[in-house]
Amino acid sequence: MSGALERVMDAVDIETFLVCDDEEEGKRLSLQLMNELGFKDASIVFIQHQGPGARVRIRGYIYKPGDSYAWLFKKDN
Amino acid sequence: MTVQKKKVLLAPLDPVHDIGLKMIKRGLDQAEHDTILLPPDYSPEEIIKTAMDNDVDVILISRTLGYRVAEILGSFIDLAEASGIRERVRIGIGGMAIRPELAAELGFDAGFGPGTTVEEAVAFVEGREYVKEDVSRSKFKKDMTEKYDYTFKNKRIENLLNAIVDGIIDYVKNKTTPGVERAKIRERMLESTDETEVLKLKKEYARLCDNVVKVYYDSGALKEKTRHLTAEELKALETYLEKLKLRINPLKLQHADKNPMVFIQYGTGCPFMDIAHIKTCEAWGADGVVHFDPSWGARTEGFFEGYITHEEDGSVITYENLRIIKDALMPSTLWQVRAHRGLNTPETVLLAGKVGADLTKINIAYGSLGGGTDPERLTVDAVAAIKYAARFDMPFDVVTNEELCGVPAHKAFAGMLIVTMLGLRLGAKPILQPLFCYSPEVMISGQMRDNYVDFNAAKISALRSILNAPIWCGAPIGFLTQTEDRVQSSLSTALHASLASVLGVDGISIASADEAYSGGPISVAARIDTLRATQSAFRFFGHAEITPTRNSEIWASQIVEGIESTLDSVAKNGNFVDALYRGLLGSRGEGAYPGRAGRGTVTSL
Amino acid sequence: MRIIGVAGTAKNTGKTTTISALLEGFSYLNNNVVGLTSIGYDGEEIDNVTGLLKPRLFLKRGSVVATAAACLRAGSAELEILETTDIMTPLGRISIAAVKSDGLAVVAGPNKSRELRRVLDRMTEKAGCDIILVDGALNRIAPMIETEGIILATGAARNPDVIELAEETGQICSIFKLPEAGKIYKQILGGFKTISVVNRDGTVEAIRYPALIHEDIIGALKAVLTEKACAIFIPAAVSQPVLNRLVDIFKNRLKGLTILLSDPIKLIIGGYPGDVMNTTKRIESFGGRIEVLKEVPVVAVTINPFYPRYRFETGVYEPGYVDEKFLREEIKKAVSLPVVNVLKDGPAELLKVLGFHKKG
Repeated sequence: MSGALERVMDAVDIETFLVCDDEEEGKRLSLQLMNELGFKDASIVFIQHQGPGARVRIRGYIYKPGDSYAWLFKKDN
Repeated sequence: MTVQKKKVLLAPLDPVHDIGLKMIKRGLDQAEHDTILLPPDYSPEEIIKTAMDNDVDVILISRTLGYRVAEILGSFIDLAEASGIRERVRIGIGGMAIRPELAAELGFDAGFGPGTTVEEAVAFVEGREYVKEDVSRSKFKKDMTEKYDYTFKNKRIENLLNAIVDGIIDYVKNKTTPGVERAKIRERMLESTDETEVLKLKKEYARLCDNVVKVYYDSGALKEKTRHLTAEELKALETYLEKLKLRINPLKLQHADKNPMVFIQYGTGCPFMDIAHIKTCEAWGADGVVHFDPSWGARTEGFFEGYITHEEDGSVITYENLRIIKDALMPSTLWQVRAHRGLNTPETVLLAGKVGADLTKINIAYGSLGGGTDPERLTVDAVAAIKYAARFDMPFDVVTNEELCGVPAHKAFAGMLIVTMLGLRLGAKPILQPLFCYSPEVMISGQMRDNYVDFNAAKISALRSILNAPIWCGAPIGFLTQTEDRVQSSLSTALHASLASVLGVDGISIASADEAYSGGPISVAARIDTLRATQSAFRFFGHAEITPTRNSEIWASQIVEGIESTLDSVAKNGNFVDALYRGLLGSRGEGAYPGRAGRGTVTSL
Repeated sequence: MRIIGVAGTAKNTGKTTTISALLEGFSYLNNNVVGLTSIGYDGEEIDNVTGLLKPRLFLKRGSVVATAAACLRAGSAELEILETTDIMTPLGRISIAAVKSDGLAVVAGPNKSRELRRVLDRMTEKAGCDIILVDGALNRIAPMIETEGIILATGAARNPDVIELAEETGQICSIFKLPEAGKIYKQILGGFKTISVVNRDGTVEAIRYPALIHEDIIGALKAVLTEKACAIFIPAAVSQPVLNRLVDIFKNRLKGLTILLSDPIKLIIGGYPGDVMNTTKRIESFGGRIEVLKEVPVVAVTINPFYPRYRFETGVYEPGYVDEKFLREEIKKAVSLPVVNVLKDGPAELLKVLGFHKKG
């Protein structure tokens, strides 16, 4: 994990618009996008397809409750 | 002390006028200083000459920054210095990219970046050291119940409630439950300094627990997906908080005095993540935080001990967990530990009181009809819990979440008022907690077909017509109107917050902008979204009103009539617990099912 | 030489590198207390403007630093405050502190001449500094008149065209070498703080403006300039376009007239060095002279081939370099001063120029 990602308190939301034919394709692309960006624990928080594509809010959890949070152990936090 | 009048030259070193400079000019004019505002695009030489010609005391320059521009500003200062005016003229620089470090590097006497207030610039002109308002110091804990005397305006309802509560108090006499007994043992454990006595008490306590908790007291093994926090983690938390404390200067959400206190709900499962979220919410202006325990905790007899984290929603209640959370709070933050529905209700209130919580949450009707606890058990437990709340002077809210199951508002309110009266009779300070939600009732009956305003306003107006008591809308406001989209959910929260404010309620609990998402934990960023949205809405409405349609009044009287007839039927039934089983405060047809957890555990003394 | 300024012609020309080299060099000299301050804010990790990494200043135990409150704990060097002054900066009050353990320091000093003077005096008297380095900020050199000599830091960051850069550096050094006026003028003009005309009979006529930065001021000057005049004294800044205009207007009266400046820095800041030189040549061509009351010598030029190259594709700055050898040769041809690339040559050469010699 990169230094900056370790400083994410819990999750990263990617909010964007995916050009796609329908919601199913949008969902597939969403997860593919997160995979390409290197997020391991990805899920779709919100998706709405209209006309040209899908408005999505995709989430990659960096830490889930109970994990060991690197930002907590940062030496000079 | 009178401030010496200053002559100030305001000059944009930009091709266009800076709005900030105009605002500062207005502030300076109001403070009765002399100002000269130069048109844009004057050269540094012209600006300095003007300063000389007018014998100004202060020059305020504004400039948007780019790479060469920093050098232009440096040259400006150089020229001012070499022109001999710096001996008596102080020079400040403002602009979007300005930070104090840059102002210092460029040689200015002060730098005003984004977020600078006019007052800050005026202070600089007057040569005063500007002291930023420290909200954490001006912020103080408010008692929601302070200005209410709980007098009933509706005497008929008051009489009905008294009759029902007489019955409850009579019913619980000489009855006890494992929950009531555990709370007593826990209190003795907390107060004892004798280790052998504590060990003995622990054994006694364990006997009153479900197996999963017994195992813990026997062998130290925790339930699956839970673990103890390590000493290293606890140390790191301490360091984290120590450093954090020094740099928190919280925002204020309220714009007008009538804006309600804003609560957030936490319960990530991990006390550390809870604390991280709480501190972030405090920084962004939350006035209070509500502790949510795990759902299994409500259905399990007995509590674990120690610092425990787990990987599901809701944070485990132990004395130690509550302690570290309490210790992390700002002194002004209100803290509620909810206790309303489970098998550990008395002990939860006891622990909350012992640790120093400000508020708790108890409701027999919801806890037994929508929360899964046996009505008889919860009635006995709740009376003990309310007594603790009274003893620790912790006001408690009476939440009406059974509405979300489908119970109509008037029945949920009838249950709420019974527990409210019970609280008053036991010497506690109850707070009404009507929901602001898109409930199954209104989905079916259509009270929100046109707008979300009328029916919510009707609820408040109905309650106000009955008694003079604090109102805290929950929980969270706008429930079932929010989607997983952050803008829509934040907006919906903000609009409900505005309505609550306009209706003059005392508190609101707000959702995060991902509350509707069920696939994972709430993120801290989503919490900030709704806090900011709420702040923005308070700013937008100020003291302005929202006018409901005539339907609101009609529905308000219907609610009051409904409450009356419900209470009437409960009073006629004679036994409150039996009334719960029989669905008088919400029937199976309305989605309310008397809970089974703890059934048959009530014993007579 | 005891108070040495390092003035940069632009950001990233190597001011901080030069200071660091000097600090390192001085650390080999025994029994000298080295002081450091800045006329702005320097020594932070990332350049405030371009976002590129900047070196920070490393201070040895026993040295002294004058810096603002906000910087006292920002570095790794352990500092003990000797004195807190009443000089305010955007980063807080200036304190004079002793370095108790080696480490990096963030230095933000006083940014006005008068305040720099006070800090330098306190550093010498109170903290016992033998040598004080004054770090420059951006292309700001006005407060450098308080130093005894200047090291000019220039390089590709000022202009990546080496030929043009060398020409300009030569011009800057020429302006710094403007001749010093005779003692008599210093005596006559001692108390004058605004533009004044000195007449042959020893009388002085002053106008209200200290600086020659606007054409209107020439008008005011005209009113007091008579046939008796032998000198025009401009104590504060001189804007080159205005000076040029003055030459246009007074060209027939320049013969035998001396234009007196407080110091060369007042002219350096007034325009592009090439234009300033052209104007001074014009004054001479009309039979006039231009002199300074106080010299501020440039003692060496340090060069830096680095420059932040802006990439339009990405919108970020990235490191770029010009040919170091070519740069050094061209600058040497343009100035009759030692030319040093401190990153390559180390501090020895600079120390020698300043009159310090390594012992042992």
